[in-house]
Amino acid sequence: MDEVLLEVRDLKMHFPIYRGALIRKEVNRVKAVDGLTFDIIKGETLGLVGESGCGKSTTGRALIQLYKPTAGSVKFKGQELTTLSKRQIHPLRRNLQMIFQDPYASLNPRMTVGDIIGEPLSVHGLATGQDLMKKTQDLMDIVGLDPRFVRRYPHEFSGGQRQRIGIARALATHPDFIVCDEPISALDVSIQAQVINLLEDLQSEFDLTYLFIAHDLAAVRQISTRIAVMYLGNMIELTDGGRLYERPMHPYTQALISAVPIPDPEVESTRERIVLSGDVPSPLHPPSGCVFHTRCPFAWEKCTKEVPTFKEAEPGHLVACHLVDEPKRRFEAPNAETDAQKRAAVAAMRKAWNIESKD
Amino acid sequence: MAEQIPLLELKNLKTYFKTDEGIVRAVDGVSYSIMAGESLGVVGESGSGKSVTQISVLGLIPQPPGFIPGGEILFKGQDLLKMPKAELRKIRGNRISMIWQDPMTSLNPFLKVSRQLIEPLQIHQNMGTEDARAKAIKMLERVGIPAPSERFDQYPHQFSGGMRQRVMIAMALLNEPELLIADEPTTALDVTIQAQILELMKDLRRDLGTGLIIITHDLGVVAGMADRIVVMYAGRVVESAPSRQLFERPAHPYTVGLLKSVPRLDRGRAERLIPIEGRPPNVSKPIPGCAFAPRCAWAMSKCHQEWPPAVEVEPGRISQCWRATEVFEAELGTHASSEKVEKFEKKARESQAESKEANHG
Repeated sequence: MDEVLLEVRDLKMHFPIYRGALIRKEVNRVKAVDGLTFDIIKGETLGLVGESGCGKSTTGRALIQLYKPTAGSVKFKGQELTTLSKRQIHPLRRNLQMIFQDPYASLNPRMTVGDIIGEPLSVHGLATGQDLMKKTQDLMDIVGLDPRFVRRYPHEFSGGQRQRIGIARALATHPDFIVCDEPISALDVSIQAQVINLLEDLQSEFDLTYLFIAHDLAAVRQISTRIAVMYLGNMIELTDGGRLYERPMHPYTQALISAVPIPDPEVESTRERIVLSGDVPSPLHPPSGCVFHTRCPFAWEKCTKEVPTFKEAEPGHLVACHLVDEPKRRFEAPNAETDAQKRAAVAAMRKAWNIESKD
Repeated sequence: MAEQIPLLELKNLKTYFKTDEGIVRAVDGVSYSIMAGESLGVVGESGSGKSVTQISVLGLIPQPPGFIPGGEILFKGQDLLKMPKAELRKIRGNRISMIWQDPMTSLNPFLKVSRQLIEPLQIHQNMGTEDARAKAIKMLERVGIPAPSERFDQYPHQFSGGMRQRVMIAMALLNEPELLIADEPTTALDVTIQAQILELMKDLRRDLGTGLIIITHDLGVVAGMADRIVVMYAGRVVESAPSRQLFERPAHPYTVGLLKSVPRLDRGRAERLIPIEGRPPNVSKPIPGCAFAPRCAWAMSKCHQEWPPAVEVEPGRISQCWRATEVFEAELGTHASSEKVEKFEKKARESQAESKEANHG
């Protein structure tokens, strides 16, 4: 049986907006994350994808209690985290670490690389003096940095090397779980593969579990065991990496995957792309019913009124979409802008549900 | 077929910058050309000089610290570098237009979109305000902005990122330029919005016949957009080829490396990515040989000493590599398996070691 490392139930993270100087009144809320339920299995990499503003980074931060969630529960190895005080959570932090997106902003420019990497060790009282120095240099070696550079400052390193510093820091306390928040998006193409390979190696060596947040779907596919897709604060699909790309069931996932350009002119010249109309709505005023209905080629009246439940459409494949219960509507795309768009949308749906095309 | 004059031709263009740490050779002898109506993709990593090249074309390099020690920029045969500023102004924003990467910072936040759109028409075509308004609104509609006449008098912050990029495209196309230069036009956008913008650019190009230079680090974007591709590395062109051929059969080790290090969504998960080891060079120091040599599996001792000549591996295809023909003949394109690429790179390394021994012996 797979061991659940993190159990997330109905997690909500709302950011209130206040107005008024003397009498501060909450006038609205940004519903950055609005009710997520999922598990993270020990040893897996759960990929989290979605467009900017969908709440994927907020989710990562709320999981390791960098934000205090508005509602819901997060259990780490069976222990509830959301009710713990700051003092109570402190010793647990060594098990829950994070790698940040921007290797320029996330390292203190006035600390040496050795101090940056060694800081978690001294904060948690895991090493001092000579031992601290040795452990720090070992960590540098593990992530592929020259241990002789221990006294250098971050500005002396390139972007890819800085990301390795951030990774070494996250590894220092031997964590069980690391949130990787867009760890490669600030790096050059030729460096991204190096960091992906490093993260994979470290995972098998140190038995790590990752939440890998990124908007680059191809990179997420490469590193993830399972992948979750978010849209406007909601999780809309969750399944195995391979399955998600071969048979995406949610119309948004289908559009997302079809939008990714493939580096092959031959493939690109024959692809029929599903192009979604419009922009992502504001999380201040999310649409009623299914949050995706304003851009969905398949939406009908029900979608504007009822929130679809996030449930298993097929074993191990969770989807939040009314089409799961309405098979007939999968072949009509009444809201598609053109006939070509309609064809592309319906074709993706047929593929997802394994239905032979008539023509 | 009669000899055609290229729409834009760069000949051995050099753009350098004076800095405290020495002279940065951002663009160091770049030559390529684009024909009328063609689309050219320029691929490279940050610091490869791909953007600086285009900024030089537009005559927008700040001087000092920048200077152009050599080369020619021929727009329909006329050298833009030798042209008086007043003449250049008649071309820039009129016959050559630019779309910048970041639609947030390239529109003036203090001015209404209407004012920014009308300006190029008034400057270059002496159009009256009313005519310019009508034309600009029509163009906004063409680039897919809903309710264009209502949105016309709004400020940039009232538009989303994707909509702002549409405004930029409308602005660039108002004067019906012969050449449109798009510098990472979709990098700041989400992937579903990127798909919208790329489709739009394809449509517009088909309708207007505009020549397009699209600069990007994303091989996927050029695969769908470009007829021909130029690959840049450390301020130089390392390979140029028609798109399909470049992906099918690259003739430069750097191109091979790029193709192999990028995961592909339409294929199953790769067992392991093959990264390009090392990192891009520092262009503030002169590089005697090939700039890619320190990271290259194929590098011979000669590669570290002498910049390779342009090798024409087949008509219309150029690779700047001492071993271009070998790489080309190995067929290490996008269809080659990772094992095959690794095998060839291993063989290249070994043959190199042998020749070293022979030299010493």
